Amino acid sequence: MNSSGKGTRVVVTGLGPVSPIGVGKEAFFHALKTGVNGTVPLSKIDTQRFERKYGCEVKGTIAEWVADFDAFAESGTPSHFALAATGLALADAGIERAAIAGKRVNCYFGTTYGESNLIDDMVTAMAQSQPGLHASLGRTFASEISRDVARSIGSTGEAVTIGNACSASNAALIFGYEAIQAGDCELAICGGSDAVYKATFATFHRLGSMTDKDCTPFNAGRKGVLTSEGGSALVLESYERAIRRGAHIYAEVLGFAMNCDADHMVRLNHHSVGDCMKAALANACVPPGTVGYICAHGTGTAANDSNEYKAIEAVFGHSPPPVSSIKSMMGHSMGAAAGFGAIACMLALSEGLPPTINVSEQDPEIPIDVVCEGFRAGKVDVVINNAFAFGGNNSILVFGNPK
Amino acid sequence: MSNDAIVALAVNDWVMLRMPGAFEQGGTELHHGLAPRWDLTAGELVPSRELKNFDRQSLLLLAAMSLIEDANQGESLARAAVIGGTSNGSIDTVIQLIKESNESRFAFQVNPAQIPNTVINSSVGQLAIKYGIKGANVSLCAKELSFYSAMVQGLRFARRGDCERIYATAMETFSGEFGTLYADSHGLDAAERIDTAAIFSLRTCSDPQTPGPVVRSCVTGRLFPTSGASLGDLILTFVAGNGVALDRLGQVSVSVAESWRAALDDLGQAFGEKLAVLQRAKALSLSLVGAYQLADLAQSVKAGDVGVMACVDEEGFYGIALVGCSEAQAGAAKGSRDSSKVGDV
Amino acid sequence: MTHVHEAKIKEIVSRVLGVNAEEIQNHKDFIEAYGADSMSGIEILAGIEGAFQVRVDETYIPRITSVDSILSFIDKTLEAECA
Repeated sequence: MNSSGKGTRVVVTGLGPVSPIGVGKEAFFHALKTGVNGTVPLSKIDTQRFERKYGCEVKGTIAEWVADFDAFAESGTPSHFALAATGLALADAGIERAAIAGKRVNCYFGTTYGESNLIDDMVTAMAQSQPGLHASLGRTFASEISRDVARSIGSTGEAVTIGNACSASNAALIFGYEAIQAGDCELAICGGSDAVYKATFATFHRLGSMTDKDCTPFNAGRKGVLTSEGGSALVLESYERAIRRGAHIYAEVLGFAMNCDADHMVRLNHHSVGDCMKAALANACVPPGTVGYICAHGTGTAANDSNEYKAIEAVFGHSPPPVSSIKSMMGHSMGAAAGFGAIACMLALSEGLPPTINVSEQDPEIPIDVVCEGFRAGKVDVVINNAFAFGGNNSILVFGNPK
Repeated sequence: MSNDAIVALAVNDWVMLRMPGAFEQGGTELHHGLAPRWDLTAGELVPSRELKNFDRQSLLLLAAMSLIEDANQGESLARAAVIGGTSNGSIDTVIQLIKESNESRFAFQVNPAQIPNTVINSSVGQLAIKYGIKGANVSLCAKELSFYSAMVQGLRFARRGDCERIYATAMETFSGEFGTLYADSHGLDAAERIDTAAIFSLRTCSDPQTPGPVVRSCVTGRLFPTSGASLGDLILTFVAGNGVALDRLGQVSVSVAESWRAALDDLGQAFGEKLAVLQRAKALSLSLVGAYQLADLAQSVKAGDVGVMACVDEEGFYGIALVGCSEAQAGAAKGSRDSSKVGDV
Repeated sequence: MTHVHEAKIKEIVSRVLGVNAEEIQNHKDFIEAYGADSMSGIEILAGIEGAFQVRVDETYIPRITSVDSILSFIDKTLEAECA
């Protein structure tokens, strides 16, 4: 079922993952298919005064993936991730920068903590009364993540950073989708970015929601998230434009929904999440029975996975589609997470289902197929990308192979 | 599918609450002209036992919401949306958490009660919980264009038909550590750096005769100074593109960065006495810029006229919006409230 | 020793749950009797760490259900710290 009658069709034509398990689509897809465990002892923050030591980190020199790095050398790491992800996504889409310079290409990037390393530096500088604080203030604004991308590609379009925490990059995709549908732009770069950060690490530990080494979504006795980082970017394009230029189309955006639990700042409300999933399917005109895969939010906390399961059960009854959590492999990259989920959805729509790794003993209260045997070859035609956040912000997207 | 040309956002009510000091000392409410005070320990905004879970930003936003006169009730807001403009979220709470982490025996020994307030979307999240607002809830960071981006999204949400009511907010706390640095860096004096929360209660409308101010259209983008196109041309094109004749223009409110000051001559020629340049302190109020401008137009745009608000920063990132008012003018102005204290919550 | 801890514990619980210390009964469940939520246990844990200058592992969060339950593990925790 296509989305005719809903106006301009919007498709995904480029993928740019900058992740701890692989940089670039090929490496990322390969990592998902081989079930890589991205857990490492953290090196980007000083873990000496922390009890936990593990997380996931993007490996390599970011400057190598950003063509115009010098122009953005003083930006925050999240900006660098977003720039790198954008470069990769545009290259993957076969779009030359010269072809889009000066054009209206809207840039929407989600984040949880914004330019975190610059904020951390600022706090240190404040404590030590260092000079130069005023001059560096401008770069600490969260807006700079999406603006740096816009500056880099010379866009005349909208640039907005969406501070919707762990569901922000789905919100970014939704904004891009609607902007193209509204005729505001023909092309949008949508994704998210966050960097490994002392505050994230402290937060999840203090909440008792952080695992010690491996992330084990859907397992009995699961202990929580593994903090991670990265930049995710997808190129969204109008279907007509993509066809006209002979672009490779990964998927069509079939629909979405956003809602707010309005219940608790941290704890998920599975009724509200279920409503959001139902609304997304209704918006996409997709019957639940046709969904082939759910890319779970799947953080690996006791509460998230149980609540996500209850929501899935409310929508799909006793025969839900396979569900997997890529956070089992790459941890929780916060504002970038939903974007990575969307990229993983593209794998599901083309080759097969990413696995949930580290499932040693599945929680008997979560009796669903979590693709624990490894990558499952065989593409599906309709997928859901789940994302939930602090503040009760849920954003869910439905993608499908275009008909 | 709604017709883009006629779906707009009617302004039901709005407040801009300016709080110079402690809550107990009161603030100034722009619009109804109140001088509200709250006794936080008496639970006038949130139950006393929960105060430790709120930061200044969340309390300010809740305080502003309590002054909105659109009869908002928990049940009826289940489908309403919230779009919050913010420059850097609750940055002071983040700074505090980092300091605690740096200074505690263990780096994870931070105050858990404030953890939920360290994500950018925390204040609008607290607002949604307090008022049961269950529609889409997004926090937008685009510096001075944050509120413009909120209006762009508001119009898209309205077109989607999921919600009849949208709360567009903007908030900055210049009294905090970050805000103080920011205000110092721009040489703002004490009277110009007041913590302010703005909330506009907007209603989806497709009737061009809807009384009262209506946000008709909004766009954001970037104008390159080297492009040859002028700011005046950009605004005129936008106005014409929305089918509005020049002689129907009411006030044209602009906020321009220093490097675009030369464009003011150009704009002066195009709009004459209709041109109003936003005072410097307001132009530097980050996400509040668009809120101040919409507040101005909501009060000044006359029946049959269309007001324009525009903002452009140093790099040419801009926002432009049209605010109209139908010939059928809004009813008599709402009377002032009997009490200067909040009692409706 | 327990008596001294009890007063401090009640002070922490009082602050977190917004209930007067005198009204807190040792055996009462925080959620059922005093309206605690999922964050309350974490806040009480942090309060204990601060007040006693002790480290309480997050695995104790599910055991922070009443004053009595806290008192049952606090002695061991303090002894371990001082050892």
